[in-house]
Amino acid sequence: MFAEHGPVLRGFFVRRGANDEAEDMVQETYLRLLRAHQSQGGAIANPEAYLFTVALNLAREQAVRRRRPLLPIDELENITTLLSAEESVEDAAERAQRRQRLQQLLGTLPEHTRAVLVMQYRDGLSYKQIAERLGVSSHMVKKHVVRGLSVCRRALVDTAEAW
Amino acid sequence: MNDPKSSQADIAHDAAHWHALQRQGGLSPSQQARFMDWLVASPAHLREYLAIGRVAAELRDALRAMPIDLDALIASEPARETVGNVVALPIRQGARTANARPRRRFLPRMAAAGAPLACIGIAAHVAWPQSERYAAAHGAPRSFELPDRTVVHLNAESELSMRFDLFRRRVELVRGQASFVVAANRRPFAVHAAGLQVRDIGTTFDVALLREQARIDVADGRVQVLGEAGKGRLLADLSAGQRARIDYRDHAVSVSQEDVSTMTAWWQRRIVFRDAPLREVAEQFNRLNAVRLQVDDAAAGALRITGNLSGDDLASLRAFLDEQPALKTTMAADRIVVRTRAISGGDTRRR
Repeated sequence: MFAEHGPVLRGFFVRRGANDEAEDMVQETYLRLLRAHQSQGGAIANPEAYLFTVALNLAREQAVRRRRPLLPIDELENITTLLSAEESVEDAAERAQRRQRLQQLLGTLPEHTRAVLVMQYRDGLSYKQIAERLGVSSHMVKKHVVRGLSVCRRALVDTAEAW
Repeated sequence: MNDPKSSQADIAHDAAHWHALQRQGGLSPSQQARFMDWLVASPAHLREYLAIGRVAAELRDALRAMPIDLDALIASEPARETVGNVVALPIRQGARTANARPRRRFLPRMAAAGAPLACIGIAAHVAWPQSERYAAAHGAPRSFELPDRTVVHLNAESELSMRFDLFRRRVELVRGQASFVVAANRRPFAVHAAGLQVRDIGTTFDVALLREQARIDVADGRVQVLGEAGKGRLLADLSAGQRARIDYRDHAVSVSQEDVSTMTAWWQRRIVFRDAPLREVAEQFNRLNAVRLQVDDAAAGALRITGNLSGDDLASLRAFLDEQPALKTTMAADRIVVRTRAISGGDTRRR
């Protein structure tokens, strides 16, 4: 699901005049999620799917507000394209920079963590399939994913602060 | 919450934990409820969760653009850090990293851990000549950049080596198929394959080593194909939209016009074929899938078909083959068997 929504998430964070707007989007998503949570008494079966519905709706509203040419807005794919297409050149440069940083980081991770990330994110294998291939437990696979993601996330934050 | 930095790290870790759990799937209702509680506990949690999702999406893109030898990674000892796991067989790694070290502060660590692509571009100016070997395993086509910024799409079950020196850029396609989006450069770019030399004149082209012939597609610009590794005669002079098939034995050449999008469809794991023999389609399909398409008789193999399918979509392929009146397909555990349908006087009796 994250793979599909990658461009939308990017749209949240890297936008022209980005930071304030991104923060607004996060705040608004948060409020809507909280409201839904309270009104439904914790009965949301799949919070992640719900979160993305909220986020997509917001992105859509925002696109309309910017008076983009009208699109058949029921099509999720178009929204995704719209969001990714309107990133500016600086965004592309920043993205290239982040990608390069990620590639360096990947090189510093232990081999098995790297292998797990490759199988999970590049090849889209399930934890069970990865576990079998590596001869470890699914639990262990999850640990590798958590470690890899945390390292990458932290390093990207540090990079952003350093620059 | 006293130390903002460490609490930030905790949140990041929690977010990664939830993200990983969601990817694992099969969460119980109580786990989902706990996740929701965590998510709405603070905007910081939500922000971090979205940020982790973004990192995951970027990670996927970054990994897809990297040449990675997964088998080597898996085979390596968990605790050992070795050189050269990311880039396959970097022949002059030592010299390159030594020279590149003073250039940027992050290089030593990168190089020690396997020197991903970024390093190559910087080091390109310091150490000549350069040689690398790249391979793509079954089911795992990949794309990467050569030191001169030429982009290579290497199909699954394919292998190439490159050697760049001061005067020329030479790539050898050892087996399989590769496309080249050649970067402009003073040094000529040539691909050697099965005794042929394909000379680029500013372009995007594809070379495939098929069973009986080499196939060269030009998507953009112009190429020349020469025999005897470049010393022989000019076999073909192709411009955009042209496809040459060159027989390995007698170098007989046939040139046809093709749709450019057909030529590069496999970069997106699509298999597009127009009036192509079934055996060639099967070859493409089998590079990508664990389930193999087995063509049982020569007549079926020679049957010319037209279609546009996703390379991983077995069901569509099967449906597509079933629609062909001349073919009969049967499904086995690990393969789809195709043979000519026996027709005798309008009676389509099954054997």
